Amino acid sequence: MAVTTRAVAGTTNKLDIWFLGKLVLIFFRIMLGAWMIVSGTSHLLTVFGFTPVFPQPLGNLHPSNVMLVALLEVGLFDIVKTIELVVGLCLVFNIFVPLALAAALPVSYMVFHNSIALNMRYDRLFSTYMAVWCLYMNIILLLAYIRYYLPMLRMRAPMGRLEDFKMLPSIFSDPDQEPGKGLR
Amino acid sequence: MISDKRLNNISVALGLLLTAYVAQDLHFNPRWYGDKGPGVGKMPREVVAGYMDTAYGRGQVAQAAKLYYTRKTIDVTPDAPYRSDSAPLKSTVRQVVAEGLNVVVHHCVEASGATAAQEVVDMFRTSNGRIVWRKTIAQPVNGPNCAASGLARPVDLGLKPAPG
Repeated sequence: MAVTTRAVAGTTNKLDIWFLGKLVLIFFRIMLGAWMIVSGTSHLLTVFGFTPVFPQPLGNLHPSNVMLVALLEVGLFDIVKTIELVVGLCLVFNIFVPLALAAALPVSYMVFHNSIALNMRYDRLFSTYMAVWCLYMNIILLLAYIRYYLPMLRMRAPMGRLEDFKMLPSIFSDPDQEPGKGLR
Repeated sequence: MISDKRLNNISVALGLLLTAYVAQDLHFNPRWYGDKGPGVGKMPREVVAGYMDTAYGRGQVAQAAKLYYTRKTIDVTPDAPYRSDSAPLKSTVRQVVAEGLNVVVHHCVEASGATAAQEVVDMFRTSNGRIVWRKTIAQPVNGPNCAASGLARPVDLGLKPAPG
């Protein structure tokens, strides 16, 4: 699919099927980001003593109640929601998107598992609820950005060298450049 | 037709608008919007603690029900002790077992008026910051007061590392 991440490279898009697909993927990215920003912010507001955007639902069935209450009581929910907020900002502002999508995947799966398996709402698998679509959109977007994951998907990967750290500034390089080759 | 740079700027603007839309949609969700109960947004333990503080600590059972019950709340044991307003009661919490939305409180209520001291187990299920059902099991203290009760003996609740 002609989904390019060259958002700042000056490419001009034509109205064709590929561009429409790109628009759909952009919608997925900002929708997932918007939802995560609100979800993360709402909880983190309470951590700092403010009123949340919405009270955190604690599930309908007992296994879901147990998981959510336990996460809240041991403090892990703060980490989950911080990840959501950071990931959401990255997705909406279109920065570090491949990293954000990878970080979001465990959170998205947890939301999906809670909604479907723990609350036994299997009828929602084909619904439009964000609790299931967060995972669907996350996976679709991961596939759209697969070119960035290919380097780490090598079966045989020799260990790097200390000099590799010199390539770190390349994370800010122009997207037209090959990933990781900015300083070579 | 449209450059990637322009498309990116539009997507950021739309993303922010979408964020505002999601926020207002969740904020005004009828599941919780408009409920000003003191337990809304609180954890199950806090909801029960708030209820017990009002019902036992201040003796305001009716007020506690008004603040923390729903219209559909079920009291499984309506004839149990301490179901009507009284003078403030002195209650010593011995143990709290909470799992998910269910909270069980074992406490001892000192003698008050004609009622002797009682060892009480109050069980609650909460939902959206309110109590949806409760039941109470009570038995008289086997001693003159709560401190002398056989159930006052300290046990390891796993709340602190064991000494040594």
